[in-house]
Amino acid sequence: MIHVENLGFRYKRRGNALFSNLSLHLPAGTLCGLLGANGAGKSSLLKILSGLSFTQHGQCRVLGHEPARRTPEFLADVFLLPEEFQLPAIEAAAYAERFGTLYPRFNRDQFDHLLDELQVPRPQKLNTLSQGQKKKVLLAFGLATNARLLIMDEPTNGLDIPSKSQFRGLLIDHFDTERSFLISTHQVHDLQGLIDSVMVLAQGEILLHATVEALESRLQITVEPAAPADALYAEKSLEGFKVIRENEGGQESRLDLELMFGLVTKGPLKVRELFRPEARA
Amino acid sequence: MSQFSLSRFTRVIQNDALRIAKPVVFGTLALLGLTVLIYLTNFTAGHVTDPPVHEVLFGIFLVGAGLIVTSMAFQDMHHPLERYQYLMLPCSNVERILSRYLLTGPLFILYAVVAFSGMDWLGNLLTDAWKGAREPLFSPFSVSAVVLLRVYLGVHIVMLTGAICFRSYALIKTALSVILLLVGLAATSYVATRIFYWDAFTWNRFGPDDDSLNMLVAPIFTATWANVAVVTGFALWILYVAYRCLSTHEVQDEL
Repeated sequence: MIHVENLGFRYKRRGNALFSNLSLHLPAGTLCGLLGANGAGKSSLLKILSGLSFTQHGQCRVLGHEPARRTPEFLADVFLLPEEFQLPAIEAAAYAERFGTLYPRFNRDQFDHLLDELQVPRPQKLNTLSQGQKKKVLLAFGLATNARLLIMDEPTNGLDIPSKSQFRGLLIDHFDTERSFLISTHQVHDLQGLIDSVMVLAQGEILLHATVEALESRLQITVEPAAPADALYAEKSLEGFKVIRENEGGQESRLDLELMFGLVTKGPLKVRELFRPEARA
Repeated sequence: MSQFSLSRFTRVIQNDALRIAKPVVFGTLALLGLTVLIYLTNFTAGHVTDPPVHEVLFGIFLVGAGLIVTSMAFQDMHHPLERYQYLMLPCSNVERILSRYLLTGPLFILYAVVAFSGMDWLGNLLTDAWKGAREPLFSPFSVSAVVLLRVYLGVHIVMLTGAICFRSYALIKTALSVILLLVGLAATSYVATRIFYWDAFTWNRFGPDDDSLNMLVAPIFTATWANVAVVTGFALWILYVAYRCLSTHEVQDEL
């Protein structure tokens, strides 16, 4: 679904290259979380994949298209839910009428049903809704377009606690093997139990891209009174130290995304060693 | 899907028309008020204004209002929170640009002619009823109206390019750019003329005293429909190239 090879990108008005040799492969039927520190380039990567930013070198193919060409076929199959956006001063029904008709697989009934499920007040002009409600409208619209790739940049920002749970439920309901959802967020807890693979972007490259299953089988997370010397990574918590070790005993433990992010960003060499193809075999 | 689909283009142009409908309607109502007010204060029984008031007002409506609307044609593309929606819509760049060209160019002309004819008729009717004064009705086929239409078609394309290039104050920046460009061209032409036609140049005429040169140059500047078509075609091409380049840089540096 997404195939990026040796991608190089820099903002013209800024100095250093954001990505110099970034590669990633994302198959269809993936619900992937994209994690990274502030300024790591998550939003930029999403824009490149959506055809909004253009790379200086390397290969980038999304759903068999070159995003930079921005063909109507490509744009009909990719939906971007940006972090910040503005909606026009029209009602949801008019919005669906005006913009939905441009998406060949847009389903109006599905859109209405999703708005009901998300409890978006209607009829009301979209520009007068709260940011969280606007996000729900765009999420409902994105799902109803039935685009094969849904790219979301900080989708849970502005959502209240019940809405976050609704958000997770909706994504799971609308996920299938033909579609992929790529979600960039700082709110790792919002992705817990939702995603099936994780990508960590740091230092201009993808430091880690693995399935949750692989991470859970290869890493063991425990809580211990002190940070042991053999730990891959340890982080202080109220209960003691949360510790990540290589899982040698085959015991399964639930993935802690925040802890795993700390491991990847603070000890990338260890992670690469652990998740390099030979190590996985 | 291809770069151009009639059904998709129809939806794109409908969307774009709805986007500008409100400001255009409000602008029209304001101009209607202005027209009626000017007719009531200027028309007197037995006299005809010279030049006709409707010629001046039509010029303001078409060129003034038209250029303002054109300068705002790509405002959503430059708006940091609106550009996602515009740029991610599943349509081609050809459709995007053609839609806004038609809406602010030929279709705006059509709208201006119909709306102004209505305003002129209403203004005359009210003035006739109140003061017993009326003037000949506006005709879009009069010589001055046709010249205005040609001027608008040429200037419009420049303003539309400016609307793409400049993220803010497109109207002022485009006007200033055009003035600078024209001053530069005039200066260059003057220097070139002095160099190549030094002997023929006299201070009594701005240019060489050479009829053959005038015969060669004059038809280019004659506003025939053929010239307008060539200039518009060329300008459209520039516009498309500018759009493709600028939409990429725009997004890349600002999103």
